[in-house]
Amino acid sequence: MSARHDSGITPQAAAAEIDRIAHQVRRRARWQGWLFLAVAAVNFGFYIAIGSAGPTVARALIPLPVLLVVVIFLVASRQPVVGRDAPRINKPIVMAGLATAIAGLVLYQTVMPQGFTGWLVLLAAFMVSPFLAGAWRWLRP
Amino acid sequence: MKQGGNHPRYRLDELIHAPVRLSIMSALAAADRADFRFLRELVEVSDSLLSKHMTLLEDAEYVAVIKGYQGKRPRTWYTLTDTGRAAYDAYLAALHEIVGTTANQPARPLS
Repeated sequence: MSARHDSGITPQAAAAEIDRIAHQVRRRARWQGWLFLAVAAVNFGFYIAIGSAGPTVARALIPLPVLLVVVIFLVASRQPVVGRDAPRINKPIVMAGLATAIAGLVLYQTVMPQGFTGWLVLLAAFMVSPFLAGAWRWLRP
Repeated sequence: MKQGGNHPRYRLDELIHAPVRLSIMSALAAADRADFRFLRELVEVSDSLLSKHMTLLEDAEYVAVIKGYQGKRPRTWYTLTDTGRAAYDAYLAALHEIVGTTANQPARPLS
C-alpha cells in the first residue's frame, strides 16, 4: 500500500497543519518589518541631526550610516527564517530608500532653507518613507 | 484495491503527504529560506529525524541546502527548489479539491 494511503493524516488535518505552519513562519519572518522600522527611525533622526547641525558635527555623523549597515547585516544574519517575499520586496525598498536619500540631499542642498525647519522634518519623512512602506508590508496583519 | 483513478487523493504527492515532511514543506513554502534549528523547533522533531526527512526531500530535489557560517559556527539553511515549489503547489491544489469535496464529511484518513 502506498504512503498516500497509510500516512494517517486526513486532508482536513493536513490543511490545518499547513495553515498553522504558515502562520508561524510568517510571524517569525516579521523581524524584517521591525528592522525596516528601526532603519526608518534611525535614518529620520540622522537626517534631522545632519540637517540641523553645523558642518563639523555633520561630518562627524557621516560614518553613522555605515555603522547602521553593519548592524543590519549582523541582525539579519542571526535570524532563523527569511520571509518568502523577501527577495521581491526588500531590494526595491532599499533601492527606493537610496533614491529618496539622494533626492532629499539634492533638495536640501539646492532649494531648501538650511538648518532646522518644518521643511527639514518633512524632507526627512520623505527620505525614510520607503522604509516605512517596507515595515508596513511586513508587519501588516 | 484500485491504485489509480480520478479522485484527487491519487494526485497527493506521497513524498509530501506525510506529517513531518508536510510540515517541512509548508514551512519552506512560506519562507524564502529557513535554518535547521528553526525547522527542528517548528516541526518538533529530533535532529536525526529532521535530517532523515530533509535527505529524502533533497534526493527528490524538492529542497536545496545552503551551508554557511554565523561567526565561527556552521549553519545550514534550506530552501524550496522550483521543482519542490511546483510539487507543493500541485499538492495544495489536490488537497483543496479534497477538502472542498469533503467539507461536510467527518475527517478520516485517506484509506
